[in-house]
Amino acid sequence: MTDLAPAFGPGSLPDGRGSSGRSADPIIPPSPPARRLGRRGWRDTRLLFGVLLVLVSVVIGARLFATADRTAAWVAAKTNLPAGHVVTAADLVTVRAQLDDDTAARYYPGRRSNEVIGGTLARPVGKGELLSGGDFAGPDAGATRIVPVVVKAGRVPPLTPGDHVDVYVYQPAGAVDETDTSSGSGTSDGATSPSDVGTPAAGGAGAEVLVLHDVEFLGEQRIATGDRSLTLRVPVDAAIRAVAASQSERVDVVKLERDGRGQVGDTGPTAAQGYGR
Amino acid sequence: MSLPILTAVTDSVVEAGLVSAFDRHDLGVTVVRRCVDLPDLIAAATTGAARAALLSADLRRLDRESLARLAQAGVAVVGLISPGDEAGDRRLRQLGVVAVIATDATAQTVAAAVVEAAKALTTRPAIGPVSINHGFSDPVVGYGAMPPSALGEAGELDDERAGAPVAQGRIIAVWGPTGAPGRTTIALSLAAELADLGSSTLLIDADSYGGSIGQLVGLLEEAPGIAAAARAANQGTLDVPRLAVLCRDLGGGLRVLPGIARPSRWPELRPSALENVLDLSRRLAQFVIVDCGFCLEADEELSFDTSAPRRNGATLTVLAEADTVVAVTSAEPVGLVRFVRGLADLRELVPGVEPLVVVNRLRASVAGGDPRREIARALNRHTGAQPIALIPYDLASFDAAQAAGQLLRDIAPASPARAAIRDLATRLTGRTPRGQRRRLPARR
Repeated sequence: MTDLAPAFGPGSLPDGRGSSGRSADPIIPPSPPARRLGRRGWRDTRLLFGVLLVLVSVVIGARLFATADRTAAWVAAKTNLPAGHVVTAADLVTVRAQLDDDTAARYYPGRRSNEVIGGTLARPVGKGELLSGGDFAGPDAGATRIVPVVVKAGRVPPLTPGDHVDVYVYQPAGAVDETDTSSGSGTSDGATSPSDVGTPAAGGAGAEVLVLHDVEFLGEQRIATGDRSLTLRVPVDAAIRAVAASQSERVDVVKLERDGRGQVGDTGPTAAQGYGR
Repeated sequence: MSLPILTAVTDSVVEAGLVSAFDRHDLGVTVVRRCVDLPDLIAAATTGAARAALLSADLRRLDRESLARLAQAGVAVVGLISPGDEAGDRRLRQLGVVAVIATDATAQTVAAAVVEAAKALTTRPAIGPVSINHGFSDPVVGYGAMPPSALGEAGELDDERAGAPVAQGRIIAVWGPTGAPGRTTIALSLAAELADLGSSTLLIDADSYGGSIGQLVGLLEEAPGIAAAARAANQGTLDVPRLAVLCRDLGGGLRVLPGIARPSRWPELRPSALENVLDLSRRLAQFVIVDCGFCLEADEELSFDTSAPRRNGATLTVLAEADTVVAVTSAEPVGLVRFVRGLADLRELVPGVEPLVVVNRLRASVAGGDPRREIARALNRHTGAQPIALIPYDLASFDAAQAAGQLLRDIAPASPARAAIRDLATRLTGRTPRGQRRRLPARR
């Protein structure tokens, strides 16, 4: 190898690093440090500041959104519940919703769901509907009876729980007297006179009688013969008539359609002559 | 025979006294002209009418350059100072005037000093800086034959720090032919590695054509650097502490002295001043790496009858002052041809010392299958020299270092180019490279 350093034995020169000012060598004066470009590393203060800025924004934003969430938990029905249903815990679910104060007063908040359990629904509640105090039978509600009425297939329109119905029974041996015919208040104006059209044959033709008016349909069940057993809520006084009607094989159920004011209207004639068998 | 001398003394009473004394007594000197100012003195000196000059320390515009002109004209210089004027004494000695006499000395003493100085000039190549002539015309002579500082004893004794165990650093000039073979890159990396190896290192940018070290190391300020150092040296105010202040410390034992900001400022790099800067820099660091210009020509003589400043004087001065010359060549065929021709010029210019050949940008795509062998063979055939280091072409690392304004060793410590330069640095410090044994089998 070429000797490239002939003049320099070890120790022939002052300590090398002294010149940079690290050692206190008075012989070699120090130079001012160079102002240079910094090395670009990923650990930059700007990066740190940026990350910090994002984190602070996220935290502040999250807190802001958390406080801005004005929704509350409310009690709602998990499934369609018929009127008269005794509410159990399984029927209920809590949903979050934001309601204004007036509306909120009507509904049960989620924390009060225990108060609802065991209550009886005064009207049917659909799936997802919030439960309000009006849904439940209040203390002044009269006692009612739940009665099954068997109806042959084809003698009942499609019904949903909560519908109100009238129940007619054909009485083969029955006869209609004038007082029965005019007992309905709606006949006073003479709009539906029984003698107007198709007057049934009198004598031995039987009679069609209204036995239940404006009762609530709660549910139905298909039975083996294809007939249906409708469950109706009836006043105590009418329970016996409902049971009696159920014994008849000729029961017709009529669904009540409400008018614009929510009224079902008058009963109309409560009896009519039959057309025979 | 009486010695013809010139006088340029600001104190007219002293001058008149000396002149009349020289007239009256046969003191061996004859005043041929009393000059009124420095240009008058130089003009008279260039006529060759005198062999010595007596001048005052407070002569207006007296600087190293004018002393160099006087020396070139073969005129020895004796300085006159007022009694007790220490500042003037120190300045004259820093400018390289050896003989300084107070004005209250007798005419005999003055005459004796003048005769002595004239005699010294004929035996020594120059007063003041060693090879002062190459600032103007003569080819560099005696390269490597001189001790680092011919002014040795005189200069150091005058220094305030005389007596301190000041060691002389080693000057390594990094030269390369035209065509950007990577002089500055090699100089910078070499300096960084030397510093990393534990030697204090000073990197000087003396490229009079395109100094770029300040930018390469990412200096944010435009430091005055070598231009300020040369100016101070010219005025005789440069010393080691002042030079240190002009340098910038990069840490880890590495300092830089940035170069001129634009090539048009080349006249500021006066050879005589640069010589002084280099002398002082030896005391600042163990290794002084000097990045010099490529051009070795001295074509000013073709254009000017008088002594015009040489543009390449700075490069020639550095090469003359250097203890070691590292010659950098690029590995491309064009670069190699330029190098072969440039090396011939260099050898002619600085005979006696063989430059260390470093091949830069070495790659197989330009040099054939085994680039190391091909290049080494070609260089050996055409120059007779074996390359001492072959630096692989690691463009990505050098690009990254340049883009970041950082040193290669900091940006790409595992770069093969860095390893090669570190090997070179290790060998320059006189140690055995660590990776030598491991790499040798791979090379064969």
